[in-house]
Parts: sequence; C-alpha cells; structure tokens
Amino acid sequence: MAGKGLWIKEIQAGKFKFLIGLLVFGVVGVFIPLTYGTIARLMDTVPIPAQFVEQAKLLKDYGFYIWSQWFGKNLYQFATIMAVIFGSGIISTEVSKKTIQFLLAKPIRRQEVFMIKYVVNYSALALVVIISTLALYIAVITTGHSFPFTVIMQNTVMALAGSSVIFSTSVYFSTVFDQTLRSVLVSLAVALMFSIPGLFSVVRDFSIYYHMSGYEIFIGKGFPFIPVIVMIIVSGVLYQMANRRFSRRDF
Amino acid sequence: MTAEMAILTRGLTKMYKDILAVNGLDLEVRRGSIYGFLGPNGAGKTTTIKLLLNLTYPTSGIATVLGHDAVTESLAVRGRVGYVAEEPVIYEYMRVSDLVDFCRRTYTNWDMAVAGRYLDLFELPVGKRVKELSKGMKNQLALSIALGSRPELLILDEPTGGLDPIKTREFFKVILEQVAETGQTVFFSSHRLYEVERVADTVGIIHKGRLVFNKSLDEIKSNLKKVRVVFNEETSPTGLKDVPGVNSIIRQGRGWIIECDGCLEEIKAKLGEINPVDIEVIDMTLEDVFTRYAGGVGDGR
Amino acid sequence: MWFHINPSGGIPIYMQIINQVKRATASGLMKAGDQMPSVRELAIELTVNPNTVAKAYQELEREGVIRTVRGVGTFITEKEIKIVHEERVRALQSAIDSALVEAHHLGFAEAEVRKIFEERINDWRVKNR
Repeated sequence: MAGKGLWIKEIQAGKFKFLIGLLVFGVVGVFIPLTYGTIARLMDTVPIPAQFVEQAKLLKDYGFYIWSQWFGKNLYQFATIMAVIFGSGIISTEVSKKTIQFLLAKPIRRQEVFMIKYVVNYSALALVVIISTLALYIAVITTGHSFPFTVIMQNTVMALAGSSVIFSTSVYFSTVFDQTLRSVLVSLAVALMFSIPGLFSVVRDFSIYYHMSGYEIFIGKGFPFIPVIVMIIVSGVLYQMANRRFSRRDF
Repeated sequence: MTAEMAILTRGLTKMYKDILAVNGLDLEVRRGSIYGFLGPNGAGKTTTIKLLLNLTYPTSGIATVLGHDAVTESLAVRGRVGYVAEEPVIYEYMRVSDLVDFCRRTYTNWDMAVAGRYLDLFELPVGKRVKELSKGMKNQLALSIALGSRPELLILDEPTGGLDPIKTREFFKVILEQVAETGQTVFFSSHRLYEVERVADTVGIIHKGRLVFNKSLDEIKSNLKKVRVVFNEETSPTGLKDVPGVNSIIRQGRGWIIECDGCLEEIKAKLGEINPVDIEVIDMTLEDVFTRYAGGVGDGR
Repeated sequence: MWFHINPSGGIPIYMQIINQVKRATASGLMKAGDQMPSVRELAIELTVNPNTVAKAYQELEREGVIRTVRGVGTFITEKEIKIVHEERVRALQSAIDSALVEAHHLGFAEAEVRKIFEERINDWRVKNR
C-alpha cells in the first residue's frame, strides 16, 4: 500500500511530541495518588478558612480526590491543550514549510494522506490519555488504595470523546490557515469558547469539558451515551469538513 | 497503455482570483522527447506543472499525462511521473536514508539500485539530515529519488537553479543517461537557454499563460534565420512581407532585418532582384527566439 | 573524444556531429575500422540529447560513413561509395558554389580564386599521403 511510507513518516515526525506529552501526563498522573497522603495530612494540620471547609472534607475522600484532580481537572485541561497541539499543525505546518507539494506529488490519494495524518496524531493523543490514566491507576493500587476500574474506563472514554472534538476542531483549522501559529491560536480560542456552556447550569449539558470530566459517571448517574454519540458525530462532521477542504484545495 | 503523447493539454486554464495564470494552454509533448519549457517569470510555467500533477485544480480545459486525465486519474499519473520542484523542499528533519525509505515504500516501481547509483554519484551523505545539505545537494537528492521511482515521465521545474556550471553539467548527464537507458520523456522548465539548446529536442515558450511558440530545435536552427540587408537608394524590402514564412521586416539603422521561417532561399533570391548593397544571413539563437516571442512581443510588420 | 559542439550556433547539433565525423574520416583522423562511441556514450559525453546523436548516426549510416554491428558496436566503414554518382556530383557542386559566393562577397577576382583553390588541393594532397 502506498500509504505505508506515510504512516511511518508521521509516526516518526510525532515521536517527540508524543513522548513529551506522555512524560508530562504520566508524571502528573502518577503524582496525584502519591500526594494524597500529603494533602490529607495538610488538611488535618493546617487551619482551614471557613469557606473551604466543605471542599476540604470532600478532598479528604480518596475517591473524590482522585476523580477531581485527574478527570475533573488536570486530564481534561492537558488533553485539550494536547489536542490543539497535535491537531492544529497537521496540514498547516506542511503548507508553511512548503513540503506539502513534495508530499502531494507522491502517488497517495489526498484523502488517504489526510486520514493517515489524522489517525496517527489522534492515536498519539489517545495513547497519552490512556497510558497516563493507567499509570495513575497503577499508582493508586500500589499505594494500597482502590478506585473502581469501571469508573476509570468509562471516564477515559469520555475524555477521549471530548478530546476528539477539540482535536477535530484543531485539524479543521489546520486546513484553513497556512500558518500553524494562527491555527493554534484560533483553535485555543474556540476551545475556550467551548467552556462557556459549562458556566451556566442550564446549558451545562452542552459543555464538552463537563462531559470530559465524567462527573455524572462519578456520582453514579450512569454512562452518558447520548453526549458521547453527539461528540463522536461532531468529530466526524469536522473530519469530513476538513477532509473536503484539503482534498479540493490548490497548493 | 502507451499513449503517443506524454503530455497533452487542450484549453487548459487556471484563474487565481482575478489573475489568469494559465490561459487556454494547448501543449503537446511527445513520448521520448526532451521538452524545454521556456517563459519569463510569472508566465505560468510552475502553474502548468502543478496542474499536470494535480497539486492545483484547473478552472477549465483538459490535461492528460501519459494517457491519464490529470484530475480524475491523478493517482495513476503520480505513480508514473517523477517530479523535481524548483528549490525542492523536503522534510528537513529526515535523514537522507529515511527519505529514501519513505519513497521506497510509496512507489511500487521503486528501484533501489538506480536511486543508490545516483546517491553515490552525487556523493550524498546518507546519514545526514536533509537540513544539513547544501542547496545543490538537495537538488541532487530530489533528482536521485525522482529517478529511483523509474518514472516514464520526468517533470523538472527549473532543476538547476543554484547549481554551479559543473554540477549543472553533471545533473544533465545523469538525466541523459536515464533517457538513453529507459527512453523516458523529460519535461523541464528552465531559464538557462544554453542548457536547453544542448539537451532539448523540442522547445515551447509560454507567455502570459499561452503557448506562443512550439518547435523542434532542429527546425529552429534550420529554418529560423534573420537576413540583414542594406540598399543604396531608398529601396525598401517591405513589399516582401507577404512572402509566406516572413515573420517580420524591421528597419535597423541604414539596413533592414527580415525574419524568415523556412523561406531563406526565397527571400535571398527576391532580395537579389532589387539590388542590395549587402546581404548577411544571421542565425537566430534560442535567446533571439525567446526575446521575440516572450519579451515585448512587438513585431515590425 | 575530440568532437566539439556549439549548441548556440545556427547549425543543428546533429548536423554538426555528422559534419565532424565526415571531416574526421576525410582528414584521416578517423580511419576505416575505428570504433565510434555508442549513442548513449556520446550523448552523455557531449551532454546532448540522445535523440540528436541517434539522428546523426542514422544519417551517417544512411550515407555509408559508419556501420553498426549489433552487439558489437559502431564502426567507420571502408571508403565504400554507396551514393549514386550524380548525387555526389551535385553535393560537390553545391559546396563549390557556396565557396564561390563567399569568394565573390569577399571581393576576389577569378584568377585569385583559382590560385587559392590550387594551393588548397596541394595542401590536402600533402596531408593525406
């Protein structure tokens, strides 16, 4: 298959980003369970201002601590940034570096070029999310605690679904702009806009980040199938839009 | 499938916003020929090449390459065509060997022996990254990998820009070697008329997006001539402008310059009848042809 | 090899090659039985189009100046006259006419032209002994 060379090239090109992302996520993922003890002790010894007493009590709960620090905060924030970094350059970097003509003169269909780049870069993102979450889980177990693995799995799916929307958005902008910097800035701005629904409890269901945090799973409300399906569909639509732009464009 | 024409375009047009980059181009490049594609900057040479490779989509018109439609069968085209861009930009971070591997996996016809032969000849360091190579080496690298895919048609856009005369000579020797061995067709655009005169058998000139000239070099040299004639009195040869083949009759100082296309003997004879003081036949160089057709196209008819 | 090609001149390259081979055989620089480089070799050496060289070789072969033996090579032939006498006469007349026109333009009188012509024939005879 003609695309084989491109798979390998894309993987090699993204190696560095992948390893750095894995390192950052992995360290934080392992860090969180390991610091529970310290945080809990801190809660006991340090006098807590009145308005934070409720929160402190919650944090002392191991499950809440793990969920809120990982899925509820660090994971979705890092994953969003990572999705923008991995996605907003896949086409625009080649255009600005002018290597796109070299690539498209090869006997590979444009749609296949796009697909390979999308899949390799998203897979890198997904692997970082999955591996770092697993590292977190291993750290939980080895420090003698427990956290329901089904919640881990389901929350990971939510994180992947949500980050695929951010990723697809970034990929779309990478087909719009010829400079990766512009693509990154616009993608970040849009990612920020996505957080607006989360500020109002009325439209909270429309917030990607709300779903990525997996709050409803954590509190036992069951797996939110509809939001996941919607997110996958939105990603699919963005993929198609970007694919068409790329396939039809003059270089 | 052996088509007679390696490249065939009819009414090929490309409009960018309000600029007509290629305007009804009718190009014919026979298989096995070495075609020199000339034109001033901005005439549409690079756009034409991009249209052939479907890097750019045409506004209207048809282009077929090796019998395949350039748009709907572009994949087939790209599998059989080798391309060296002007100032080839290749992935800087890749090592030469990685790049070769990438191409090897991408082309079904890849022949490592051929690519290797030229990598060796040009003494390209296989372990170095592309960004460490000089401009000339990048050209040589691009050519080596283009030839490694055993293309039936080689498309080169100003391939020797940035190469010194020795390297340019070497570059063309490699291409000629391949042409002699495989009978492949070569389509190259160039500014360097001297090179084109050596290696091309056919020359086409594009000006403002149109093909304004298309002849074999042999025809150019045999048929295109200028005759400088001087008369004693007020005789003027302008009456000869209706002779078929006369392209222009221009006054130059005390004489006249008559441009002939295949009508030299007839003109000499007719001039002889009106008592010239002096007749001199001047060959038209490719530069003359280029200037006439692509630079201030004003003739003195 | 000793070929010299001027790509910018008014003479097609293939004609230049033909003329130079003929000149070489006429002057004794190349003798019957000498091997010519292959089309490919010559094209690469001169950095000219192989089609051009092929065309020159074809014409030379047609005129009987060279002969290609498959699998062996291309060689200068014995001085076999393959072309009809009348054609040869016409070719020589044409060459002489060109020289006479030139002489006229250069302003030579008939007697001088004859003298110089005799001198050239003598030189030629000496060189080809």
